[in-house]
Amino acid sequence: MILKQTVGARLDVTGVTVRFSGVHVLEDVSFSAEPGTVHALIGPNGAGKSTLFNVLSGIYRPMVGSVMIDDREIIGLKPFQVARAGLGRAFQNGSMFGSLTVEENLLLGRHRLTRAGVISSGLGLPSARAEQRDARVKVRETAEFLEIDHLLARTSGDLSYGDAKRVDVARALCTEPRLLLLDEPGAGMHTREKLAMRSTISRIARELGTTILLVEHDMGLVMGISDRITVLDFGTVLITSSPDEVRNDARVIEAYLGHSTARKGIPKPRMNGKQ
Amino acid sequence: MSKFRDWRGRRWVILAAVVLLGLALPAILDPYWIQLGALIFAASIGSIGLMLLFGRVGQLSFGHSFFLAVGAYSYVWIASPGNDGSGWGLGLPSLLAIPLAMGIAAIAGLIFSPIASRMKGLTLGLATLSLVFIGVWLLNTLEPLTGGYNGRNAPPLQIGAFSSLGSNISVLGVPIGSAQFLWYVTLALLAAVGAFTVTLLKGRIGRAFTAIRDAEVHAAALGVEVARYRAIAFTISSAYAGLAGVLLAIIIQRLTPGYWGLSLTLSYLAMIVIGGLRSVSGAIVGAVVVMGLPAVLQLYGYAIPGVGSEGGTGLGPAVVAQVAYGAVVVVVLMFAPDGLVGLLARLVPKRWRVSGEVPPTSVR
Amino acid sequence: MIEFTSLIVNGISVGAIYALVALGVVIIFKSTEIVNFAHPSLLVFGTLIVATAYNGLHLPFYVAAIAGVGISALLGVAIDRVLVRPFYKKRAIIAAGIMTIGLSIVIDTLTTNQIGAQILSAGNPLGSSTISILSTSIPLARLAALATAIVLLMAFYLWLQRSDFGVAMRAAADDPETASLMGVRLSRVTMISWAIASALAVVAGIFLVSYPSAGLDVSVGAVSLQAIPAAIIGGLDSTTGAVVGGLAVGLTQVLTLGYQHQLAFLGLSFSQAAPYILMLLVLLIRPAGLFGTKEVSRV
Repeated sequence: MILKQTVGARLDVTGVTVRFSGVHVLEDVSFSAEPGTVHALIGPNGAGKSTLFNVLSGIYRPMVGSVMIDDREIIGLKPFQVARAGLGRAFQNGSMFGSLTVEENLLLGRHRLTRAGVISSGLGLPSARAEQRDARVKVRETAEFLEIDHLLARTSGDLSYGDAKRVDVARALCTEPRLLLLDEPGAGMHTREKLAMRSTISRIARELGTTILLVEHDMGLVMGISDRITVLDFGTVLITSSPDEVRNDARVIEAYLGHSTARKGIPKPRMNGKQ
Repeated sequence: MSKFRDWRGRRWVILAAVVLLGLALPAILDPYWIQLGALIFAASIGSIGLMLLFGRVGQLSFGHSFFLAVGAYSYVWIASPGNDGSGWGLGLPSLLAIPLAMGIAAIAGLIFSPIASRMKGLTLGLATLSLVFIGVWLLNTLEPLTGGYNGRNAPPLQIGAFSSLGSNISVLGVPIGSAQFLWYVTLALLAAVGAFTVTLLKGRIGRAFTAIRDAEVHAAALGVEVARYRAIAFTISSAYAGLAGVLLAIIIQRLTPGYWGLSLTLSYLAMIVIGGLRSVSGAIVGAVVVMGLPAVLQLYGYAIPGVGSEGGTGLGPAVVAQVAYGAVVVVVLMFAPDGLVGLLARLVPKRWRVSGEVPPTSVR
Repeated sequence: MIEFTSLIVNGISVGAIYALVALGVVIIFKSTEIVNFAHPSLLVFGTLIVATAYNGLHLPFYVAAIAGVGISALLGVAIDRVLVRPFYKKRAIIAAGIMTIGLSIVIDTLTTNQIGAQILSAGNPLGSSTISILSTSIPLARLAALATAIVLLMAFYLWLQRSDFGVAMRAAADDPETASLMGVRLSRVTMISWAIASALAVVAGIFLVSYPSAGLDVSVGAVSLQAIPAAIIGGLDSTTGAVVGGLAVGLTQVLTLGYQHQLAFLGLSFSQAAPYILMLLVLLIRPAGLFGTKEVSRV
């Protein structure tokens, strides 16, 4: 079962600055993600990763800066418009619309690709039915691609944490994004689940051609799948480079070690690149 | 698989039984009950509208009676002759006036929806509360349209030889009087609205509604235009309220401003709370309880100690019915937040459920 | 000009009464985030108790007043304990608000039925005497209402500032779990809030039905419902807002009523709709109300 291939988008973040009540959360953040690559965004807690994700998906508006998806400026667009521009997002906690089934959650992912209006949908006109049938087929294909098709009939509110996260990724994928944001896809998962997630992410990038930007704390996962890595610290970019160079960069080590001794509650980075 | 087929089979049996009952009952029942039935069917259309808005999209509205009134008086305006000294009228056929009045109510909802889609939850509820009082004031003030304080008559509905006023025709030997006629008209419209709503909620639009209610930010991240869908829901809800208002006007015949006030809005809120916030069936059950209770007590209240009869000793059936429905709202919210239909769904085996759309979640 | 001055003075004195009722709505909202739609019903209930004790049982006015205030406070506590508490745990704020609508239907029906066509006096120790200020004659009872409202509002404000209760109240509404971990006894906070709010409503009710009003009749419920727009205009979580909102509603109503002949094109019942139009306008510009800090929604 092969899903439709997409042309991965190029992401250019330039000079993004966000301030909350006078405090710089992001300062002059710039980096680019190449089409079809896996690009990781790492950094200690409070480095501004989540804020940056919210800027990219149109929830926050930065004071200055530009975010281009291919040649389209998305700063100033509303979240739904950003989604229509080809950005898909999976959330940190695998947040489901709990009263809906998994299939309905995934069908919501197809929302932007379907058309049926109030009248045709309410009257159950053939066009609306056909569209719904097509969407179901696409949803099943996506679910099979991510190996969650056995969950389709379940009520999404009852899913385990790991399953919810996988369904969340599938739902984002159903929007046929050209750029996919994954917010800590491995958080709270067992080792085996993490391995599965790792191969899923790789397959999305390699087989579908989608550009992936992920935030992740697990260095094993990050080093294993990323083509490029951007390290954020205190809202500024330390370095954007290949995993090997990042691993050996003095500033990165300093940032992590400095933080882990200065602050508590930060996950210990494992820099060896192996699980 | 066979289980599935059984369930589908039963569903058709139930549906057929309901249809037969709906067709046959007017031949058996007393006109009093037939008229009550028509009132319940009309009110159900209104409560389905409020259910869709509050239960499915999470937008609380106290303005429902305003849109009921818009529908009712639009009908009066369009269908009245206009030259009989009763006030403005376009003199169009009453059958044509129904969709037109519904359309005007929808437009009224559309006009208010930019406000409605900016607000949510209680803020919207409170803002729409003002519509009720503005509405009653307008009804008292716009005399040429509404008859002012003293009210105005609603023209009867006429379809061919049938009329909602003083008609008595036999079809195949079965007498179809005005009451029976109204029963069939309101029932047919309720069936249409119910089927349309169920289909709508099961499809693309309904999923978007649920997504907005459950997690607005996540819905937007999937490309759902939150504000637009809130406006759509508000417009549909207003259109349904408008249709319900038209039918109520035809049934009660004389419209006075006092009827369309706060207590009417609260009774519709009570309907969906009592029946169940999230389903068409819940909205209908709620209408049956809220509209049916006073009527039943009116007839049989004397048999219940303390109720007494109207004007006699005891509280009187109207007061008891009013107290009872207020109390039912309190009790249902405390002990069965998903309403009577939700309560029933928990008691009835899963495979017997008709829609399977009743999740065990409640208002927050 | 004289007419204008007299309308303003009147509006302020009526507004002060609304402020007392609105303050009750605000107190309950601040401690629970619940909008108590039954608040006007509690006002009518308590005032009816006072009227019954005064007329029926021939008790002295002050005894009757204290009985009415006390019994209403107890009813408030009972509502909190029995009816509202289950909703706190689920944080089902909107459901609780709708529950109070059901409750108000029950109370309103019973009190309306009890009052019937009567116009009951709730005692009137100041009689119908008036004094002249700025060449306008003002009923002494209205001035007393204004004075009482000012004293009660000030006292409540100081108490919130000086005692721990104010902090506990805010903590209870904002974050019940943390508040209870920090030793705030939530049930006590909400209970006291309901008691104070209900008591204030009855005090306001007594003034509302005394001279120049004819007395307690079935229309008082609709009048006291104005406390809801008053509280919302000011901001549901602001005591200052309750005062401003109350005055705004009082002035709007008295002025539109006073100039109804000049405003005849708006119809005679415009004064009843005016406070709600004002509320809608305020909500459009500031969804949290004039002095409110947070939007009244938690969906």
